[in-house]
Order: sequence, then structure tokens, then C-alpha cells
Amino acid sequence: MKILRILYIDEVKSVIMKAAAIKEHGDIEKLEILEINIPAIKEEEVLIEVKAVALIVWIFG
Amino acid sequence: MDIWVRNGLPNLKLDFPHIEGSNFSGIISKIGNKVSLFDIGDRVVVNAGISCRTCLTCRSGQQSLCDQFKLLGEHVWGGAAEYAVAPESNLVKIPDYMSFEIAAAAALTSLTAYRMLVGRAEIKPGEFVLITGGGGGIGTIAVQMAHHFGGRVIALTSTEEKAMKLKELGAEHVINYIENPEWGKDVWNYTEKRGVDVVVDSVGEVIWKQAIRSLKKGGRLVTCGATSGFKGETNLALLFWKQISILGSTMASDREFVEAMDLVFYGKITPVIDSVFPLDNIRDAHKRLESGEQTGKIVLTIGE
Repeated sequence: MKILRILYIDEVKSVIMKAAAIKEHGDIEKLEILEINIPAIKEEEVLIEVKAVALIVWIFG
Repeated sequence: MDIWVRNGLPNLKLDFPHIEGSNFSGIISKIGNKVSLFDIGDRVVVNAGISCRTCLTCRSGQQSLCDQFKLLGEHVWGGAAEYAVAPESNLVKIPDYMSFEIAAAAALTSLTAYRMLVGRAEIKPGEFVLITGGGGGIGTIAVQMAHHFGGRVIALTSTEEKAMKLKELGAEHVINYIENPEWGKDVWNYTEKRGVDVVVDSVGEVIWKQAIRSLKKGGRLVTCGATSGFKGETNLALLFWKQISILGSTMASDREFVEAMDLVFYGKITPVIDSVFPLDNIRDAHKRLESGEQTGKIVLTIGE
């Protein structure tokens, strides 16, 4: 099973991804669409091709 | 939270650029060598709570009490991007019939409401449950969840439109706190001068005093946030005389996440989606979020 996984372990075609990111804190204008390197994963992690993100209004502190 | 992280918080030190987005779903495209329960191509939704997994608290199943607890999207990169990283332990598979938008919209609100109602307040059938901030993401889920567990739901909200929606979702009585600033009296009268058994709060300061007064003897107030401010005035005489419990709640355990998502997958609760924006229009999504006019969740979609 592990051998099979290694054979098709990387479905990601690119090393760059589009991200909605902030370069510094501030108002809405600080939100930008940037091209960023796709992050590496650790051995207990997965990389997810994101399809949907829900915004959150409240704060945990 | 996305707004607060963007604006900055006193104790939040981030490396920039920072990617927000704590509530996300997608398809696994790469797996680490120790991943055993998931595979490439699996449709998954993510629990944003990251814990160490090794301390006694984590191993006893209380991951959100871990000293190293942090959130994807708040403390580390989240999902507002084409790709995001998450530990295997934070994933739940999404059934084929469920959309990514519904799963993402449900994740954080459902697990939070579930821990508040079930894990902390220990809701029982027939109890009166007052839900503040009824029109928000947590509120719309908490109304459905409390109703599902047999609670008699009273909700606070700000518009007639939101009030109608909350009644559809299971609220027995809805109070417009703008038109009725002394809403605590309404709660008192509606419960026949008994008070509510449980208050589910994410608003904080502006509702605190009346929320405490709205509790019956032995009642429980459970709070997960403070959108209006952190300083709630508590009359200690009410606290001890009425033997009230004030309970904090943050995120949920792994078990609670699975149980909360099961309620979503089996159609017992459905997140309310206010609007959907493509990722490129994230500024418009934040404007909508800041307006406070939304009922339910604002969702960003990525890809086709």
C-alpha cells in the first residue's frame, strides 16, 4: 500500500498557488490575492486542494 | 474572526504574508508518509483546532484545552488559498451528496455549538435555551441544534427578516433587541417568570447583564466569544443566590467534531449560507462580513 502511495503521492502539478493573504494588519485594502509557494506537508499531514472556505465573524481571543 | 485577524489582535504575532480561513473543505491532493486513514482524492472537511496530540489533556480527549492549542487561519496558515495543509487527525470525510460549501460553512460553527450545548451546558429536552446573536453563523446553527435536542429556543436578533428565518430554523420565540432594548423582560415574561435554563452567547459585553438576569435558578450561561466587547458586568449576588454557572467554551474535541458533523451529514442541522463569493472577490466578502447584514455564513469558493 505504501509503495502504491509513493507512486502517486504527488497530485499537485504546480509549486505556486493563489492565496488571499494579508502582508500586514489593517483594513480591507490589506487583503490581496498573492502567488505563494504551496506549503510542504509533514508526515502526519495532508495537502488539501481547497474548494470552499467559510468566513467567521466572531473571535476566540 | 477573519476580520479581527486581518485588523490585528494584541497577542497575535503573525509571520507575513498570512493566509486566513479557518473553515474549509476540499480534496486531498497529497499525503504524508504516516497518514493512514485518508487517501488522495478523499473529500474532506477540516477541524481548525490544532493541538499537540501528546500532552495528557490531548490524550484524555480534550484537545481544545491543550496548552499549545491554536487555529488554522488565525495562528497558522488557513484555507483561503488553492491549497492548505492540515493534520490527518483534523479531518472528516464528506459524503458524496454534500457540497463543499455546506461542509465548510458547517464545520466550525457546528463543532462550536455542539460543544457549547452538549459538552458544556449539557442541554436536556424541554429546557429553555436563549441564543444571543441568533442571525450569525453560530446562532443559526445553535438554534437548530438546541431545537434538535429538544430545547425550547428563544433567539435574539436585529431584523424582521432574520427573525423569520430563525423561526423557520426552530426558534419558538424571537426578540428584536434593536426594537426591544430591554429584551430581558420579554424573556422573563415568555418563560412565565421562570427564566431560561441555558444561555448560548457569542456576543459578550452588550448582552451580558441582561443575559445573566435571564437565567433561571441553577441556569447555565455558556460563552464562546465576545463580538461586542470583553467586559461583562456580573452581579455576584445573582451568581451565588441563583446558583448560576458561567461556562467558557472554545472549539471542540475530536469526538465532538465528528458528532457535530454527523448531525450535518444526516440532515439534522443545515448551515445557513448568506452569500458565496469567488476567492478573487475576498474584499467584497469581507465588506459583507463587516456590514453585519448577513444571515448565516459567507463562503468563498475556489476553482471551477
